[in-house]
Amino acid sequence: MSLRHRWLVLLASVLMVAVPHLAIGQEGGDIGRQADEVLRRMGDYLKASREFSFETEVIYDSVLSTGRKLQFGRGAQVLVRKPNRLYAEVYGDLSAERLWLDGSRFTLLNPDKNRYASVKVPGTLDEALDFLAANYGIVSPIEDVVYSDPYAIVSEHIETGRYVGQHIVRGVRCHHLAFTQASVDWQVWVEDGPQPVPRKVVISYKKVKSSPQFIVWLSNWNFAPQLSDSVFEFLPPPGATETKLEALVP
Amino acid sequence: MNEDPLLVRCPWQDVRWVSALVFAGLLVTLAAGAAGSSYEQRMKERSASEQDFTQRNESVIHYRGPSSIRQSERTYGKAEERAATEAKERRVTAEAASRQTTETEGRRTSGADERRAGEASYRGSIRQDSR
Repeated sequence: MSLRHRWLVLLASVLMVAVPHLAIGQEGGDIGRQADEVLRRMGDYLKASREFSFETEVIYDSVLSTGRKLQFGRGAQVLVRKPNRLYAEVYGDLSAERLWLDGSRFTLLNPDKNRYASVKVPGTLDEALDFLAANYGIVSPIEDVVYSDPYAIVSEHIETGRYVGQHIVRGVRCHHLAFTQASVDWQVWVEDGPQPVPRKVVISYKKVKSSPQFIVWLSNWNFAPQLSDSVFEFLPPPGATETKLEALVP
Repeated sequence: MNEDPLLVRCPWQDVRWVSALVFAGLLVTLAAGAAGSSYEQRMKERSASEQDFTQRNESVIHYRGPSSIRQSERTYGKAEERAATEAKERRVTAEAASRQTTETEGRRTSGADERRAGEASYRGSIRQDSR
């Protein structure tokens, strides 16, 4: 092989290795600066808020074994007092629940059956939410915003992130961001203005058959709700019976 | 006979018309009954089908994703990790089984070779003896 041919082979090899990486660098593989800035602004705003309330309206797909999707809805009112208190009232097509985190215990009440269950949980909201998800599969709707550092929580597994544009969510101008992760893709619409809160979130479960979605609209954000302590304390309703938590988890 | 044939009817003709009317009525009644029966049947089937769907609906909903970004990735990350571990375990088991089969066959082969060698040796010895 002549020297010129050797150089050509070497150049071709370098290009074969480098071109795919260049392509990834152009299209993804990281979070765009603007998307990261907006996401961080949202996270920092929520992180700095000690007490707040908001409402959610959710629609989500359930997938039948045939692959057919059924859509259900649920709504919730959520009250938060960091570092360790939460109350949520959830009403939906398939179930209604009320749940309390009072700093040491988690209680779930099914108001239709008038049955409740209570378990001891770790001290902070972060620890308690992870504990409930890991041990009982209990996940509050879009609980990411309740953690002490929402930006760290939601950016933990991001592979790519893009700023999509400014779009309106129920009359509110928002920054529309789109992210991809290994198992899910998600989008968030963050309010444009002095109160950068999430107004809408869509999670697409791309590795699940039929790629179902979870969509939540967040509204009525209140960062000065003046909540009394009793809101976070569970008092069994008259005639309520206690049961195991597993029996109440849908 | 100058009677008007329209005014005077033979008795057998009346009987025939009456019979025809009764028969037609019977047919209508039967048809209505059959229709009613099939309608009821259809309603029953539909009701059963709806009930079945409801039951199926309750029993076969196999997915309701975690409603948070963090828990979604954790759940599927764990599921994938678990699936990868299980796949690895299955692969290791299959390889071990395959190895064992090869070794057994190897042992069988070497045993057969030994037997053949022994037989040859034996025959040889016979041969030797017979010589």
